[in-house]
Amino acid sequence: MRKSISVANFLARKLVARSNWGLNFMAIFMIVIVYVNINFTSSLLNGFISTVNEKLISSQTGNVVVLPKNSDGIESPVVLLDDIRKINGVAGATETRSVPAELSKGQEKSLAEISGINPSTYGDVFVTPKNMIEGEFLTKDDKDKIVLGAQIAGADISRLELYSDSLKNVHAGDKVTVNYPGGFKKEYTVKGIFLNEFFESDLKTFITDNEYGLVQPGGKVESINIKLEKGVPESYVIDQIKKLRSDLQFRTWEERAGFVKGFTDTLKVVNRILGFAAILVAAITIFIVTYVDLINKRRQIGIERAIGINAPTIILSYELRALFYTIIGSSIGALVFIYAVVPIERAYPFKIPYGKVFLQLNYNNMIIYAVILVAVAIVAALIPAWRTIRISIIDAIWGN
Amino acid sequence: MLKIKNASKIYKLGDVEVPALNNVTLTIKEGEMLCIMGRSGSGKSTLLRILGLIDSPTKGKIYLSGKDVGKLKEKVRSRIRLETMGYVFQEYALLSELTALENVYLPAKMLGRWPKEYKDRAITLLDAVGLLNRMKHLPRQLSGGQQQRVAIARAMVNKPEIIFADEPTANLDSKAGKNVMETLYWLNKNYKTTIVFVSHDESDKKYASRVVRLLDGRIVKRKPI
Ligand SMILES: Nc1ncnc2c1ncn2[C@@H]1O[C@H](COP(=O)(O)OP(=O)(O)OP(=O)(O)O)[C@@H](O)[C@H]1O
Ligand SMILES: [Mg+2]
Repeated sequence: MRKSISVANFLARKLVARSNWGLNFMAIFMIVIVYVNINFTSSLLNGFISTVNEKLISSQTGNVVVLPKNSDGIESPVVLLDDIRKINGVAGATETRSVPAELSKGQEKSLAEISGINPSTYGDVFVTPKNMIEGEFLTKDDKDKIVLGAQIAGADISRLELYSDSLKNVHAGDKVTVNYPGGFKKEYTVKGIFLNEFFESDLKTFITDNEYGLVQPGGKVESINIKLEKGVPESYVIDQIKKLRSDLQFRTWEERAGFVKGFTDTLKVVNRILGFAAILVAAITIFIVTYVDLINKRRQIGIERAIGINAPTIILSYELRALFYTIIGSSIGALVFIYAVVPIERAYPFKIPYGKVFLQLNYNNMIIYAVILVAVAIVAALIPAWRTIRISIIDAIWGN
Repeated sequence: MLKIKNASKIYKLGDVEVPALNNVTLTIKEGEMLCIMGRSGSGKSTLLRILGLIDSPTKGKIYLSGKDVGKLKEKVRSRIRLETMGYVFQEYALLSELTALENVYLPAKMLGRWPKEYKDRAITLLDAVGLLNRMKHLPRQLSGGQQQRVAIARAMVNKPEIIFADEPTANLDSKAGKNVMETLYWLNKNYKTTIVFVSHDESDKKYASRVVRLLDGRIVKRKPI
């Protein structure tokens, strides 16, 4: 056994070192391509998912949403907010009240949810204040001002998904009328229009909490959105808040993902299918390389057997060669991916409607793919090697 | 030491049966240098391969030191070939990725009887066949005669009891051929290695201690006309 391994290792080294460099190059090159390809598709899809999730978190939900257990709204929100902000790992928290209403300008009408927000803390959780395409975001002392999502205002951007349901041509400085439930009407000046490029959040409409108090007196805080520092688990913060109060319920951003969840789940399935296909391609590649090579080596293998090298040793020598190709190929592939593909993509990222997609480097995945590739290579090389060994020595040496 | 009894070999080519050996009985004695002669197609190579456990007879038995080795598993036959037999083929049969030296020591490395000295053995043998200065050459960098001598050194490396050589000079010019035959002869005389070689060159008889003639797969007493 030990002798077999040592002879197989010897033969494999000579096979690689003294055979046609074209063959070595080809085999390794193919593995590099396959390995980079698997990592690329999976990183791209993961990048895509993370861009979408990032958008969702930063413009729509925050990391954690705090809701009242009953429908009366959250009791003494000011104290609660203060306490939440003191929790380790909380980057910001902001409260929202909201009411459905109809907006109109001239003939155009649009249904929207009017949210009363705290302009001084909203930006601690959400990026919306940074994504103004016209005018400015709300400030604390604004009076009769409203800020519209682009999907509500229209703002003459006809490419918007919901443009036809919007007010179409409202711009900053225009006046819009809001019809509240119960027949109350109020005219606001559009202070600004934002575009987060995430259509659920671009359907929002904001007024200050003071304004909200005027139109919905006694309206209670309906939700608190919390942004966490990077890497802080949602469950930790939820547990901390649970210690403070028992009349609350919690949703993580994932539970609030809605359609995004279905979408990203689909992508994960696609990711697996593509990964499987890429691995299949790898298997076939290694199989073909070994197969074609072994057809040319039949006579040599026949001679090796005739002089007393046993079949397991010969098979092992081709296995070791396949292993060598795969390890070198995936190592080069990993270097190419980490030091070329990812940085280049980072410099010229793919752009999708939700923003830029960056390849997500995941070393765990890379190792798993390399291990799978090695396993696949072992099987793919075994089949042709075993088939060649089964030919009789006579046919191998003297046959054709 | 090696004996085949009533051995026949029939090759099947589709529906056609090609008889290559017909009821051959032959005993090879220790230390002899046996020459198998006969026309092309008479079954010389077939006989040699059966003797060398590379092929099996369709019918008949084969004994090595009295033991029936005809029905052994390939794994065991492979071991016997490695331990007790050496081969020199008609065509150059070196492994193209190995140097002359590596070709020679490969069977010794596999056998492992001399874990430390197998390289030295190979070098000594290459020296004996006059190729010390070609040690690092790959087969394609050697002439035909040189390759055959490397093959002889390889056949020798495990101190086999018997060496088979199938027309080892067929592809060589007469000078190189003579050189190869003399190497085998010298092996037989100096190391008492049993040698069975095939030739259709009548002048090779002089190296042999005994000649067996084949005609259409049968052993015949006399040289056919
Ligand atoms: N693998 C094979 N398949 C079918 N027929 C074969 C095979 N090998 C040999 N034969 C046939 O068996 C017969 C004997 O062949 P063999 O090679 O033993 O002859 P030989 O005496 O060595 O001839 P040569 O001097 O040309 O080498 C021939 O008729 C040949 O055609
Ligand atoms: Mg022949």
